[in-house]
Amino acid sequence: MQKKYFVILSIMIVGLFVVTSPTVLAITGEEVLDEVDKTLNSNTRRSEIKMTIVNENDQKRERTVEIVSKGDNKGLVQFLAPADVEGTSFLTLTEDGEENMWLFLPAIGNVRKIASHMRNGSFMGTDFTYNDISMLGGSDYRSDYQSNLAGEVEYDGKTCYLLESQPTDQDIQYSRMKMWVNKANYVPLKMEFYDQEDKLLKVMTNKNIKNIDGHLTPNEITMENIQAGTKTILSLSNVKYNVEIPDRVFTTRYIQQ
Amino acid sequence: MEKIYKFVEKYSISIIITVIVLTVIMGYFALQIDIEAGIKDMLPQNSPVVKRFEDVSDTFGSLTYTAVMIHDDEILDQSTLQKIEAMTQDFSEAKGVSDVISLTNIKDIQGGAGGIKVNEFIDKIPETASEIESLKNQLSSKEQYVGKIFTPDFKNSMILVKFVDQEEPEVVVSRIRNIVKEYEGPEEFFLAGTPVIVTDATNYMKRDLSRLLPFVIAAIIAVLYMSFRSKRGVILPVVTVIISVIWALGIQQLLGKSLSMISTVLPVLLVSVGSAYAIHIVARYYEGIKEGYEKNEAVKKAIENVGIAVIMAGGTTMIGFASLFFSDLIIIQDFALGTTIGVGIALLVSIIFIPAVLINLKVTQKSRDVKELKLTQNIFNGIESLVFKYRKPLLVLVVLIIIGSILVIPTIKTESNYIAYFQKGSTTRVSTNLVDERFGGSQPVDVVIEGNIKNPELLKQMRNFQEEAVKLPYINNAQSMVNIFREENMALNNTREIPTTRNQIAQYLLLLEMSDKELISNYLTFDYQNTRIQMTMEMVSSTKQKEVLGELEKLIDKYFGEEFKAEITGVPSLSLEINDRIISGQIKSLISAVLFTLVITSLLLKSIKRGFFTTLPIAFTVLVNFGLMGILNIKLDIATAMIASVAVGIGVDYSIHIFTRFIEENEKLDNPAQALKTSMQTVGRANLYNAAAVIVGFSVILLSSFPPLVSFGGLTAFTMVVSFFGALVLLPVLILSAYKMSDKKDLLDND
Repeated sequence: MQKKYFVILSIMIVGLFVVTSPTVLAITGEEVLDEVDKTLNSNTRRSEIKMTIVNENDQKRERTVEIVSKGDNKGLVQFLAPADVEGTSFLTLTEDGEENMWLFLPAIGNVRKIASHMRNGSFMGTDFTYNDISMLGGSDYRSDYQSNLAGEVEYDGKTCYLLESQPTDQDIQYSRMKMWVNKANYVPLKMEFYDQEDKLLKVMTNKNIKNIDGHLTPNEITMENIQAGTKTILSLSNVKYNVEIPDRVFTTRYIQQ
Repeated sequence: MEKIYKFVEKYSISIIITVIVLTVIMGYFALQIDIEAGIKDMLPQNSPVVKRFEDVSDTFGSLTYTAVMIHDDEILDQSTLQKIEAMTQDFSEAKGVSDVISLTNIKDIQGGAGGIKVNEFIDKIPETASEIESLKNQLSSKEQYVGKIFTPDFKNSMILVKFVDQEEPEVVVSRIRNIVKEYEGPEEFFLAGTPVIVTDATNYMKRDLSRLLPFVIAAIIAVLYMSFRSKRGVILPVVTVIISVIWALGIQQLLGKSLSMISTVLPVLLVSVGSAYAIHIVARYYEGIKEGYEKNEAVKKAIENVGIAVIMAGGTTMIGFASLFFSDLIIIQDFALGTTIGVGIALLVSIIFIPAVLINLKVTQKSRDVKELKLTQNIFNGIESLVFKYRKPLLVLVVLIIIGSILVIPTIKTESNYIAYFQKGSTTRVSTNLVDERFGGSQPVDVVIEGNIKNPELLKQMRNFQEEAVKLPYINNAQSMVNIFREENMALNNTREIPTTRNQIAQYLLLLEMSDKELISNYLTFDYQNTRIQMTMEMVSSTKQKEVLGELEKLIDKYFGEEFKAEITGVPSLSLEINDRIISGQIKSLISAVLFTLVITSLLLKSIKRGFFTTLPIAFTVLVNFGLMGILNIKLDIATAMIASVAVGIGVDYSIHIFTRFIEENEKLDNPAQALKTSMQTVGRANLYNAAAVIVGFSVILLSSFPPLVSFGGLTAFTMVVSFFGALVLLPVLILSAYKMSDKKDLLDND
């Protein structure tokens, strides 16, 4: 659990990127996840994400953030638009296995350390909770869920591994989850989340997958809350891998500037 | 008329069978009719006030709710809190409930290690005395909940149960009541809010009317027996009204209508009104029998001689009721439909069914020598001498009464607040008063503002507006984004200031959205472009409501006027709209009732002058009705607003009967004075029987414990007395005066 918030960032930052791996026959559910997990390794990355939040009446809110990350322990989200929240920053640092988060709202002042209850809330007002974001990261997913390979199915014209998972971490709000992983490249294409009454709650889809600097990266990630009728679309642009980012970017002093 | 008689004579058995079969069928449908009690349903759907109310409900959540107040020595003890928690759960699961707000699910913005945290205020029910104390301290600092969800002494707590808009309120109210019943004791529960009041009012009316209806029928039977001294003289009119009540209800059910609170008086009204036509037919039949005619001849005479008057009387009564279609209130329009149908059927049954029955009954010797009561004779002798001896003083008296009535009419007040219908000690009133006193009201008053919440000017004006608004009498609990920002700032910076720049507001919002997406949707639309201020208003009279809403409008102009578009909505706005429509509908209905009556009587009597003479007594009656309302301070509400039209419809009958008989006799005798005397002695008797039946019928309603029924019954009985004397005293006086003033004998002849 401790690494969760970093993984949030790694997903937010790069979406999902994948280095093509060889197909393994007679693979297990856990092994599929290992392969997915491998694809998440990267050094530094930088991207801009437009978040379109759509409510049940089809009204929209748009926000643009820039996300940078370094290694597996430093991440920073900064708001670019709309202008009235520009400069709002969200910093995550993991030290000695302990994760810390800070929030800076320029008009309110003072960097505030965020307590761990934030994981239950909506990520930046979107349909993603912090948990959702973190679960996108294969490694975390593996530690929190028990997964089985339910078979191979067609999804969106592609042959996919269908994984069925039950949470092992009792803090997770879902009763179970399904994941469709492209057999050809280990890119997860779709995830379904079920609530405590075993009703479908949310569906996440990854689209517009591009190869950027050798990483397979979904450029559009949609999370739809089926029960509430709301959804959030994340559109990635200017994705760059392996760029030079100095360590001082990931400090509370830097985000206040 | 002859055709009608021939038809009846030929098919008498088939008519009787058809009517009985149809009555059984209609009875089946009549039993299924529903009673509806929604306040919104009283207004037409296209009314802008209804539209705004619905729009705001759609955007921000239902504006229809019931307040369930819990009283206990200590609401925070474990058992009471557990009860509140369980009730909150039960209410939420009840069908027709959209949302529940209670002490156990209210949210709290707390400051944390940084940022803010939005939680349910009570996540764990306190067990020990010290836990309760610390919860009290926490709660006391939450200004948005003190006086809204609990009182500062922690002896009262509120559960707000919001309704799904489409659901029938009375159904949901009864579900809520059933849940409350399960949890009663030792805690006391009090229910308030418009749905409860409207439901209670409807139930009271239903209960009282079904209790009183048998007495109304018994009273009418007694009057009929005293009048006719024969079984058929009692049974036939009673059967007529029973048939018409059954058909009227059955047809309404078939038309997909339901009964409203006011149309529950329909049976009583039809029992009183519908018997009249049968009485005239039966009376004339007896007149014929007494004169020695055979039964078929007597029936024929009855149809020929009073048939036209009965049709005219029924026609004008239908017009009187139908004039209520001009009301702008759905509830009154539906009432108009039901009564018009009912009267039409009573008319039809009297003209066709009763003669058909009479033809098939034997004439007994007894019916030939029925003796009249001494009292009746004395009344008529008295009236006769009054008219002929005191004509001039009577005219002066009438003029004085007219002037007096006109003078007090402007003092009549309108009332559309149902709470006025309940007696002081009644449960409904006590609960409502307690909720008003301890929680500042159970009626939602909302101000919706078009303007971006990120505009600091708007937020500042909202704060200023709220501060001023709660200083107004009966307005309390102003809540909006202002309060949420204040709480947020309290959590963040320990100050209750509101954010003052656009960026600050945007970032406060962002922080809230990150913590709880639902919290702000109650006050703010997704695009930030529309926001609302919620307030509550105590249950007060329409006059006070109007004053207070007027003051609120002024504050809106002052604070939002130029820059932002702001509007008021809520239950008081609906109820004021009803109030306005009572007046406009009253004027339209009255004018049209009087005009149509004039037209129909002029047409049937083939003379405008005659029509005018016939209509005059009823115009007088209407004036006196309003005069009495003014003097007794009876308010014009949806029930009393119908009386004038009812009076026109029923009351004009007496004049029509007198006048047609007068013309008939005058043509024979060519002596107006003698013709008048004969008319008064003959048809006047039928009038008296009828008036006595109606008056006694409506007077029984005076026994009701429900004030609006008492004023409705009392006023209707009173107007019947007035229109009876209008026809038997005023009309003859006017006719005599007209003859005295002009020597022309043909004054009232055909034009």
